[in-house]
Amino acid sequence: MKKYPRIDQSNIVTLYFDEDHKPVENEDDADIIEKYEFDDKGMIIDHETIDV
Amino acid sequence: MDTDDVSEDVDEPSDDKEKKEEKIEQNDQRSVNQKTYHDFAEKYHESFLKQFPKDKRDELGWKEKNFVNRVDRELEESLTDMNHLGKNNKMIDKLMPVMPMGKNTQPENKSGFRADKGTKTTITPASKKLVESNPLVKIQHDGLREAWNALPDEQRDLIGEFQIRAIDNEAGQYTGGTYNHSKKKLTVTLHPRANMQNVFNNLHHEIGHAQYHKLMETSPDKIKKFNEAVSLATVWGNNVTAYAGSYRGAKLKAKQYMKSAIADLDLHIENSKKHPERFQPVPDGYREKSVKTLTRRIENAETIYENETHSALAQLVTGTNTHDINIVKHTKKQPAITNHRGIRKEALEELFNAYKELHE
Repeated sequence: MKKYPRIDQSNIVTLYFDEDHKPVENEDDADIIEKYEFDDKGMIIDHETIDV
Repeated sequence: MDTDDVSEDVDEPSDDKEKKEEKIEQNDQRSVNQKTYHDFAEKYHESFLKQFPKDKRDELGWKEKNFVNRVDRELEESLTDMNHLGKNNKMIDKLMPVMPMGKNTQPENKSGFRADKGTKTTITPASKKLVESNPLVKIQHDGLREAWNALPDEQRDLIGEFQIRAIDNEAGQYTGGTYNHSKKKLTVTLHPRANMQNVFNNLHHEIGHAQYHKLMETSPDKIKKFNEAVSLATVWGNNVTAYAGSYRGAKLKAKQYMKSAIADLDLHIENSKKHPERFQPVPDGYREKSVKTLTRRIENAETIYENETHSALAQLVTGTNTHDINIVKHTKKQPAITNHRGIRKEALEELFNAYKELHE
């Protein structure tokens, strides 16, 4: 039986950038990953920057 | 009494006179900062040339050599810009809102950083060692302290921990500054092969984030109004800086993800109705819950862009950065996801007004 597609229900926005901070499509091409976690009111509660 | 004096007093309404005085005071304050920054940048470039003499760069690995040459070029360019007070300085000064910077009265702690008891300044032992052993990092450290000490009390009060990090990886990528709102922690990273001006900009940029987060808590209506103004002013490009513009695609990406994820889910729902034996049923309310989550994510992605735009404006108003801005007559009509075409002065003026209103 085929499972239904799961949708990420987290309040996290993840962005990928190259070394010049230009946006790239996916994690494999990224030099920098930025993660923003929001609460239910739309407040940023955490922000993490990872240099790959 | 001289008659000219009388006519001047009569003709100029007191409000206008006050505004003019405030503007002079603000410009004076900015030019003092600019002089300080210029002196540090000059000192830094001299030291950089001593540490990486041009005739000995062939001894470095190719990657490091390219990196050092690039930084050298950037330093020369930024000094030229600074000597002319920045390529856009006159225009930006004209458009800049009159916003007194606030009092700066806090005492210095043992390390020479101005701060109240609620704010601690920290540096890891490894970073401290690098500051003490590398003259370039030392100049950056001292310049950063000057910039921190020039901030108004109310901006320093937003920070619970001001952390200085110093690293020395050869030609490596690193993040210049971060702000973690849940910990109220602002970090600026020093690197011996970085542009001195970036150190100042990173501090002012992160202070901008701290202000934005605080206002989200204390004045959500004002933030909403500011965000709406950003959306209007930045239609078709008009990003304050290329860096701020790099966050613009986040909303579009979130929209595209929602479209494809919900389409996949709908297809599965349809199939599960036709072939319940082959397709797992979707739980009740799962589609509605997902639509709500993904809609919120689109709004959140937009908030990131607005937050970055605020920080780019803070860099201008609080600091000295006029170099990253490209004022243009027209912006090309195209979705500004990756391309930065500059900003029209009318758009910048609208953003300055929104910034001023937000902080009043």
